[in-house]
Amino acid sequence: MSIVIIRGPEGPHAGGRTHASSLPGEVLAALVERAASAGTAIAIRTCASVEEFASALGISEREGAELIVADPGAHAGRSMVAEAMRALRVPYIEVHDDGCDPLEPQLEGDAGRRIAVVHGYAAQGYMLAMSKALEHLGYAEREFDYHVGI
Amino acid sequence: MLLDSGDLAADDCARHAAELRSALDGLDAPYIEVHDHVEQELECRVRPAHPALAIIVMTRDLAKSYAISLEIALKRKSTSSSEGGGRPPSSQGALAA
Repeated sequence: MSIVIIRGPEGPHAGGRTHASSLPGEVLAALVERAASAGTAIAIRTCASVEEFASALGISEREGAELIVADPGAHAGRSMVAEAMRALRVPYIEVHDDGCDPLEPQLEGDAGRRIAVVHGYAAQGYMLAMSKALEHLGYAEREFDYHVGI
Repeated sequence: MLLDSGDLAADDCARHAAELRSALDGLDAPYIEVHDHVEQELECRVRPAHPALAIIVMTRDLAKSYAISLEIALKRKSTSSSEGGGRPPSSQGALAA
């Protein structure tokens, strides 16, 4: 799986089991279509805690992700999350699907292999991240070469 | 096709990897893996040449995984119907990790 999207838990309380909210179906379907159009595919993993989020980053890397789109929610400042993101050996894009003030905190200082941060565009931020991911992986020019019908 | 392989034991998956790979590669239709735990995913364990269109994992919330996957599938079916249909690109397998 080339591109892996990992969404962290909602809310400020990392210890809670507040599941990440779903992205709108239109956005999810568009993400899958764009990946398929570029000749690749995506995995979407949502996590119910920061521990799961940090673990999912490592698992995705070990399983061969080429690029990770990581949405840590409001928890980018937590050491467990920050360390897991910095430790990634594959490029990643930090996304926050916030759309109004105050924006969620983003990873500060050394960000490891982060290639972009997307803030303030709500769920559409994922579409921007997908564009950047396809461009970074060299798939963007292939996006309209494939017919993806069933 | 939505594919929920459930809790396949790692040993079983390894023992039957060739058969599972063959079954996935033989599918004509695009498929979406549906799970509620990241370690249930087939693709990383079986490495099919015909990879999943998408893998959806909502941790500990299988119902939501199904809802999202079905929404993606319906949207895709609706799009492909309006475009006239056709087989999925065989090149997907070569590009998947």
